[in-house]
Amino acid sequence: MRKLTTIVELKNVKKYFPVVGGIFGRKVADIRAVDDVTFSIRKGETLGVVGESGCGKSTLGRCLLRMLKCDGQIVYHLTLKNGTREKFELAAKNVPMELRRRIQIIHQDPYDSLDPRMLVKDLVAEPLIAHGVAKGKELRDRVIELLKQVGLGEPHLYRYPHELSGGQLQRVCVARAIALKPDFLVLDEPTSALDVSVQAQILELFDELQDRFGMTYLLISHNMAVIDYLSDRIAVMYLGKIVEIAPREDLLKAPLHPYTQALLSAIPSTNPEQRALPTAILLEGDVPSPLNPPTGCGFHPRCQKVFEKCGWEGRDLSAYLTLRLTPDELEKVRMTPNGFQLLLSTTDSQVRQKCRDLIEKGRQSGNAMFKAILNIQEQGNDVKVEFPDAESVELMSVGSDHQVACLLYS
Amino acid sequence: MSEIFQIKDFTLHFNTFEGTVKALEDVNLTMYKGETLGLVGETGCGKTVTSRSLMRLLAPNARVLSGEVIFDGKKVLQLSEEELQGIRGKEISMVFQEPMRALNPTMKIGDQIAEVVMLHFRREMYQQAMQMLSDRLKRLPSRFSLRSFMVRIHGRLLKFEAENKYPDLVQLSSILPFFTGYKNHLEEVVRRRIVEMLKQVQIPNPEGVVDQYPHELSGGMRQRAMIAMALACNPKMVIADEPTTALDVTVQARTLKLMQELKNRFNTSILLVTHNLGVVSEICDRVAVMYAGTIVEFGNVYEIFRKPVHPYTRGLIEAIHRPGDQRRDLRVIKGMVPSLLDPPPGCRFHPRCDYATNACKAETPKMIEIEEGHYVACHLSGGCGN
Repeated sequence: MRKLTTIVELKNVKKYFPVVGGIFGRKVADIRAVDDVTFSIRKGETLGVVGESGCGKSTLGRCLLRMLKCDGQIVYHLTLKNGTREKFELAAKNVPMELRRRIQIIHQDPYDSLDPRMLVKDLVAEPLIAHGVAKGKELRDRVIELLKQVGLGEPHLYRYPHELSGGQLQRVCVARAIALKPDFLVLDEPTSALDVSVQAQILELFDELQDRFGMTYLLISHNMAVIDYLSDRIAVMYLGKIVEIAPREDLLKAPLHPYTQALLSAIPSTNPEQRALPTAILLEGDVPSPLNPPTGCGFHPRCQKVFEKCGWEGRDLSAYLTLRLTPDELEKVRMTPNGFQLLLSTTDSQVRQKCRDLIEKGRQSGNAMFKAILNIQEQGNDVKVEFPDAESVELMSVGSDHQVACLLYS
Repeated sequence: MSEIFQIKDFTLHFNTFEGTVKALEDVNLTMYKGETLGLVGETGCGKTVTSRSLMRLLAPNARVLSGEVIFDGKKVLQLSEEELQGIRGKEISMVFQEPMRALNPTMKIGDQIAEVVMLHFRREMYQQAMQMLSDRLKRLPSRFSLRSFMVRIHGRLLKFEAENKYPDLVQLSSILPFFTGYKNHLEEVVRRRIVEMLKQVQIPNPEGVVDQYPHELSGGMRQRAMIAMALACNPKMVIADEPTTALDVTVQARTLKLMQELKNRFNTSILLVTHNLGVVSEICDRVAVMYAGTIVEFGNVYEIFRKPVHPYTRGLIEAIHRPGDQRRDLRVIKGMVPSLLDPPPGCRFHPRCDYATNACKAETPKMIEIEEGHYVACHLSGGCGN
């Protein structure tokens, strides 16, 4: 078995984007793009990060290169030329040049990430010049060598980006990224702007380069097929948190988190005789806003396997009632969710009775949310429903190397 | 089963400054009523142009060299603009790839759907509103002094209606005191229909969504609003152009399932234009594979996925990695899609084909039916590889 040395360690990494408001531009809220993420990447492996749009996977990739400042600790363990291992902490004010050249990124859209006014030879030479690696004749040779490594060659030297196809452009991006022989490469949706047959070519290229140079990849994608093809381990993100992380085979064969299960079941099958759609777990509603994520487990409002402890709160009940009351009734009742409480105030006793009936009915039907209710108080015109405080949901080990953040497994 | 459309030997070129783009070459395609037909291919292979020519939505520089497009018995290429307007949106409607770009950001969702409804169902809507007005008139007390006067005006309005002078009707009714209600009735009728449509596409809280702007909705909801708009006129056929490409997998699964349900409920047909073979295998009945402006293989979806015959189709299917499969070397199609300004002679796929012979370089292969309903355009058809 390969020796498992860690190349990068993340501890409680958080990236909150402030939302400003008012005339003084005060911070009024946070968008929790990456919310307390802890994991590590091993040397030589590919860690796939999969999740839907807006789950914070790209932000995570950018934080890893300090293209964005973030809270928490990111530590790189790199082997220097003389063979000693050194620790680089990314939180430092100035990221050392030595670290900069060893970590690189490939962006999603090659049309946008290359300067349209630069020739391919200049684009590929740019990192070499910036780090003073080569110049003159040596530089040119190096550029040609790099282009050959990514499947292009001398004829492409004097082309502008618009003269190349998407696949070729992405190859130029790869050449730029590997120019400085990095140890660690973040691939941010590297194939989603490309056609299927070209996607396969680029994926093969990544595979080949990893074999040749022993690079470590963090692959970010929403496409499970891409993730599955390259990754050794897969991390599933939802609402800024990692909900499950496991070796590829384990995750695909026995996904534990209900979100992972839903995600995998929704992948279209490419065999019409075994269609995935009839058995797919369809998630209700939309992804909640990261501005004010649900308490407890962020997935609980849409989860199929919820139970009492998932972190129910006032908002969940108010959403439930909103869907079941008629528009007229809704106008007469004011629902104020306040954390784990929900205050229903109405002067109409009929509406109040209907709300109570709905809650009572929910309790009898064994709905997990209603099981969680601590108590219901009626004071005059108000009905106050209380839920217990949420348990914190952390990633926990459930098998060798398999971690999941779900209370079902605690 | 009867055909809903037929494209016969259709050749289409575009004149551009750089030369003639040979966008479509001898395209033959038939779709039956009630089926879901997938049109698959890579970027620039002509799948969108094919779907648009069904409505003759072609750029001014397009030149039809030969062939015919017959939609529901009508020769689309010979119709007048007015006749075409009756088809566009009403008999064939579209669902676009990016709902954010296809929806007008400055109009409320309800107003946008109302546009479609009013354009194609004006008469029905006016009549319903008129009916409501008549009902109101009947409820007036018979001793009400203005009653006879009102009834007379109402009779006049009905005459307008009979003469199809709807704009006059609205104008007149908006200045007459009692009849201002007519406009409100009209709004109510249209709104009721829109809410009904939004309910059909499973949008939660449809009454609220009617008054929302596209940016207030999530991607999946927007796409559902688009589908509602496409189905507003109960079209005979819906062209879905990459309907789920901009959506996440879980949202995609819901949208596809919804489309399938609606297809059956509204008894329409779907032409699904996509590059995603997974989506095709999930919901299509038959599939046509396009490459560089030609259809290379066409048949039942089970047949094509079980034993693709054309080397390009095989390449496409083998180029997808299925999660959970053993990791294997992807069979990559080498090279790139040729420029349609100067497509290769003979079979357009031959420069990238592993099995190309001299015949492939010289002669354009014809569509051959190798099994019932399974057509292939390849010189080696039936005998390539295995």
